[in-house]
Amino acid sequence: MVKQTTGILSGYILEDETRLTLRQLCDACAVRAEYIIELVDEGFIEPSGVERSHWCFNGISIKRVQTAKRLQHDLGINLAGVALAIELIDEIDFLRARLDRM
Amino acid sequence: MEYKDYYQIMGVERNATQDEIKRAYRKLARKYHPDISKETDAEQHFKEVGEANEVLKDPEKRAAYDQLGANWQGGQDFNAPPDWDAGFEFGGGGFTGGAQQGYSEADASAYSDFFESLFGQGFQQSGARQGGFRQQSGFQSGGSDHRAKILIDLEDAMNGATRSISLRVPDVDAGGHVTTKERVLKINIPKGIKQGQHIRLGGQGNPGLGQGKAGDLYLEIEFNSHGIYHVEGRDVYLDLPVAPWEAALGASIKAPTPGGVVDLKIKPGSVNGSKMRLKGRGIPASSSSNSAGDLYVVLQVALPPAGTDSEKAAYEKMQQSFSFNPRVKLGV
Repeated sequence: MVKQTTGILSGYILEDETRLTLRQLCDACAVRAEYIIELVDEGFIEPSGVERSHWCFNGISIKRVQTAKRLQHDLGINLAGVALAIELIDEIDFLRARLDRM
Repeated sequence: MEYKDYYQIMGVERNATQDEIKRAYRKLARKYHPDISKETDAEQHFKEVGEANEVLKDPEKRAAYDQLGANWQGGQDFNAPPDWDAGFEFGGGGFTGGAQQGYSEADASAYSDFFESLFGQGFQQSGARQGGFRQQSGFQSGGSDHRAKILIDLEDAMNGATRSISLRVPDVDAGGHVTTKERVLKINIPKGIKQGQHIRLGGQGNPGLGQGKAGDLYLEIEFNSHGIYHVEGRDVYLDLPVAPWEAALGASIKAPTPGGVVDLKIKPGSVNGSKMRLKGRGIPASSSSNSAGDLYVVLQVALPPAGTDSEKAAYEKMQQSFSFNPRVKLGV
């Protein structure tokens, strides 16, 4: 195995990168615009701005779209199912965090 | 190399039908999917199940695998017999899928050596027939994104830090052979990062093929649990033990904070669970769009033991001086 070392890298905090256009979100997630529109219709990600051309997504949308894509592909569930699964996972995470503090 | 018992991994009998295999895979995939499962080795399990499914779902590969015989045990030392696959043809080669859609279309590096030795050849041969991936003009494909978790301490989020992480990435050489490379990256942990946030490093994911651009690297931040503090968003909580007289009479005491020891005034008449907020002494802001967290000190009244005679006398004195019923709310 070859080892490769590089200099110190700096990235962005995804959740702080607040402004992404529809096009940028598509590029970041390697999906078509239609897919993002479906996820918006499902209420799974929420852009600000009314018209599609002015939609603005926050950074965490990248994470949500990628998770949706993986769950849909790996487990063969539809978008409504993906949205439900992720909402339940978020709730479990929240409850686990509370449990850890007790 | 170790023999892999794909039937055992899938939890099915050797004579299971294709439908049974499909159902077993679906169940296990839901159980171990890295986006869902909280088990520490979920990703490893998921890859193992994915590899077993890759072989068992495909009647050609399953038949080839079956003819190795039923006498092998998982983990047993194994070498593929010469010409073991004579008479079988693997149409699509060993690996299915191109651009990565999900965890199940694993990178070439995700498959075990055992799988490689049995089914990897088909892939390499078909690559060679096409003149190799990189040499083939016009062929390009973007690299997949890479995800990893990174454990940091509260202090790293307070002050910022540098962390080294090591990633295993697949590398396709000019001949179409797939090898695994280890990449060591040094990464800045930005000050003010919170539990569960992600650092995005553009172009640091898996390399693309041809002119395709590299994927991105996503690092999920997880905090090591701390002996003294617990963290909620950017707010930090500290349980601070105080003596009964400090709580009742008020006191000036020392308290640890992530930024160093501070003097703290306890108000007279404080009770167990009283909460004090030290504004801005939690995790600092990460950008101008958010603000620093606070430090919450929660008082825990500690009971001194009555060991010596004079300590016992002090408790007796208290008993005489107080008309205190701690169970008044219970009606007794």
